[in-house]
Amino acid sequence: MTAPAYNFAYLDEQTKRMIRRAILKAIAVPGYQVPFASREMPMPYGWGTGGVQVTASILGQKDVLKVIDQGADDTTNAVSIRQFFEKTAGVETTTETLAATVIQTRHRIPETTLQGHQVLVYQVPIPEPLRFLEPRETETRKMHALAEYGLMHVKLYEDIARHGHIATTYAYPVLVAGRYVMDPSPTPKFDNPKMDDCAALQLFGAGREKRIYAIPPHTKVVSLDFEDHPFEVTRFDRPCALCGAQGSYLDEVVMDDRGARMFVCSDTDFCESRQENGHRGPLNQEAAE
Amino acid sequence: MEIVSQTSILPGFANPVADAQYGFRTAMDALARPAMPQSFAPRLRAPLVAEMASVALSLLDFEVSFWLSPSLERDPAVGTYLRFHTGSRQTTTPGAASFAFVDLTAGDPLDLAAFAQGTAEYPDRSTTVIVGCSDFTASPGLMAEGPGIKGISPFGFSPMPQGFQSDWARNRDGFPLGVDLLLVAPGSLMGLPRSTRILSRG
Repeated sequence: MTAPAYNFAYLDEQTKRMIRRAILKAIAVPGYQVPFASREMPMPYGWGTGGVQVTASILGQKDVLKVIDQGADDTTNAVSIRQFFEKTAGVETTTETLAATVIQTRHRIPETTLQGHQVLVYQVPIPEPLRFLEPRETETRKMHALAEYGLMHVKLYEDIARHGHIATTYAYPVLVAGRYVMDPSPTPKFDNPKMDDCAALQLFGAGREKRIYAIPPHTKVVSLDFEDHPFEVTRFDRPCALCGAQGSYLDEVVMDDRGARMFVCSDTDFCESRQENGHRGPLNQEAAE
Repeated sequence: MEIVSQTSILPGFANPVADAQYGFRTAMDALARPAMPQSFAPRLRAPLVAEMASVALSLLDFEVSFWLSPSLERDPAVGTYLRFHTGSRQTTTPGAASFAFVDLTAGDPLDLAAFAQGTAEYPDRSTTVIVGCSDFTASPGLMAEGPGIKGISPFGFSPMPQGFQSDWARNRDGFPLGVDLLLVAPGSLMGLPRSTRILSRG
């Protein structure tokens, strides 16, 4: 059902044009944060106003939209954004990763390998990877202009000095196409390798901070590291409790007040489609017996 | 002051929302996949080629300015059409334009260095050039490489101005500064962002 009081996908056409121009620049300069005149959206900052504006600007009537929040299709943020576009754009929505043409995400990349016709839109809280090291925008801008990223390596080095390894586990900085250091949004570093040479176009929207950036398909994305402390992906020592998947990103779920817990795939579509195909995890088998 | 009778201006998009989304989305796909022509068939009657007009109406408004190459500028209907439908300012200084329209099929020169290149801190403040071509047949020995391209890809457009390869190499060397091209030919649109390198083989 479309609400006739709104323009298609909520935003007015002039706003869309402004955002579209920013998206084109972002694609042309991979990893560079393009400033844009972010609008107020009918949801609070932190709920994905940047991602929503990017999605609204690229969406067409024939698109199929999927929205995930921490990998899940059924959490509040995902459900409300999906309903927002069902209402204002009348587009088809799905939870199936491969059926979607546009996927808006908060802090995860789907486990299923993305395809060339898909666009992944990230909701970004703080787009500037150097912000906690240098609070002044004038300075971080200069640092990007000069490709002066020594400070970021110092930060990673301090991690090693303090913890013995690089302790950054999410929003792990990456170097895009050999030029710009970029914040991959607070995705777990587990997902960083999926950004490299990804077949889908990746767009990042930060509403409060008013920045848009992008990674074109098949672009080299390298997680920063040191020769003697190479980048390492998070590994889990157990399979998913429900679908038995090895090597997917797991969420910890507390089961009772006696410390029982289970670990399940954070990507609900991945987990459910595995279960439909007969895969069972340890906890699921017990339940069946 | 120039007074334009409204009836002499051809209509813009029949369906402004969907048509603008189509124009933009094709341009986005084209820039995200450089050197790979995207099929693009906007239905639009305009004093300039429909593909060029569609990109213009999709991206231009009162916040930006545009520049026309000599052959397009010579036809007053073109500038009038773009100003009327987009509210965009026309400029005679290529370096001040956010968008530029260059018709290679009419023999106009393509001087990449004359356009705005952006600044080191704001490389996005550059000109996007919409280039009218006759077709995108790959030139033998020319390949494109860079973000958006898996490996390397054949590349070409005609008519290709003399010295384009070295001009483009200079544009690429200035990365992240430089201009981005949206090339149009009948029925298709091809992107060439500043991040793309053109290689000649053999």
